[in-house]
Amino acid sequence: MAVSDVKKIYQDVIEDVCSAVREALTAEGCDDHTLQELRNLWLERLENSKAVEPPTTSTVDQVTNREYRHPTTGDTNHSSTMNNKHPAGIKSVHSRVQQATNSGVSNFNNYTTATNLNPSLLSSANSIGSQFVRATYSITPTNPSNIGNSTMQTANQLDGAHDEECTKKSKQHRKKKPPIIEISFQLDGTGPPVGDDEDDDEDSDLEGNDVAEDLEDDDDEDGAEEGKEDPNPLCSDDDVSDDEPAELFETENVVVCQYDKISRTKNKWRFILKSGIMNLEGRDYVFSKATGDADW
Amino acid sequence: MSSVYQIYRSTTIGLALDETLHEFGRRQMFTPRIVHYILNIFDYIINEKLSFSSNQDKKSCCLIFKGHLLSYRSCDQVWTLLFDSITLTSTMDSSWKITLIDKKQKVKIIACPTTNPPNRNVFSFQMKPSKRFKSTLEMNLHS
Repeated sequence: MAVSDVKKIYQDVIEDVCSAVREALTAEGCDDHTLQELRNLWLERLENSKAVEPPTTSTVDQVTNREYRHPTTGDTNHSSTMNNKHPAGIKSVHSRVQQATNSGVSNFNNYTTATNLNPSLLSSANSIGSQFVRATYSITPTNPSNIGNSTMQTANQLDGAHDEECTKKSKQHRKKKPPIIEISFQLDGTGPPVGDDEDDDEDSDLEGNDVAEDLEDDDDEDGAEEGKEDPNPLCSDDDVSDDEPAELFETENVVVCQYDKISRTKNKWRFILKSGIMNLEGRDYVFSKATGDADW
Repeated sequence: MSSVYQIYRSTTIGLALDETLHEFGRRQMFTPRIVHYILNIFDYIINEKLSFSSNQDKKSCCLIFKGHLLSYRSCDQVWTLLFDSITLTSTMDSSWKITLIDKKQKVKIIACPTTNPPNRNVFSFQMKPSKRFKSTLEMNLHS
């Protein structure tokens, strides 16, 4: 069976079906006019689908057009003007949508990477701020350590006249909530060392705000930071949702057929198919038998 | 034992018939039973037509394809194969060739196990309206 005989085969099927159901339709009271209308409407819909249109160009041109079109998927306008057919038009629109979505995805990826940077900056800022607060707390009640001294020096430089108020407030709050401070010591132990960074915006919080609240906020932010570091739970990628395969198998090019044999050796597949109807790029083809090889 | 598949209803000609029959049904020209009956007749004829053609071409293979199988699944002996690149050639017509190598333009093959072509006698018997169908018609006429 030649592949180009699809229109003849379809016409034969339509004629056979119409002649086969004539008896039943007559028994129900339908006249030949109804049957003729059924045939005409069926043929009309079939032709409107443009799947059985005879090729406007020769088959050789068709091959060259197809082979030319696919490598240049980016230049869809050119390919659509070359073919000037409905399926090509569909393809061009489809590819444009794909490109748009791809670009959207890339933009989204950029956006996500940009947003991913912010938590790291925030975390470093928070850790610096919390360590600064921790250092100021560690100054007054106990003998300052070496790290405390170095931080104290930077604090003196930045805070200036508010240092005394800070220490007073810190004394008061230390008396009120000493366990929170100890917890903050433990939580901030793994943070980056506070050293030469003098750009501590957090110290402005010490001036007018409640220091304990700051500590609590820092703890919350630290908790949020821990969550941002690992947003996906462990082994979350192992769960495969059922929606993905359904979307994966969605395509406009569908071949419906029967198989004699489908075999596999390692990643080499071999197919022996028969009685198939193919719809490729909006055009129908019929094959009686087909053999194929594929790698997986 | 012969059987027919309904898989060809999803093809262009099958969908065109289905839409036409539903339009007749909306216009109350066909009852649902008639619509079901015509679709069954279509299944028999399209299976017979394709099987008859494949039996005629036993000597020569008509279509050859090579490609990359992206994914596959098999359920109840029905295979669904997804190719992300495929090249089809015909042994009957050397100038005929289709190359689909665009990764975005996949090709899906739905394949059922081969069945024997439908028996002509069974086919002709099935084409006659059943007794139940006749009695329903008579009941409708009397009412």
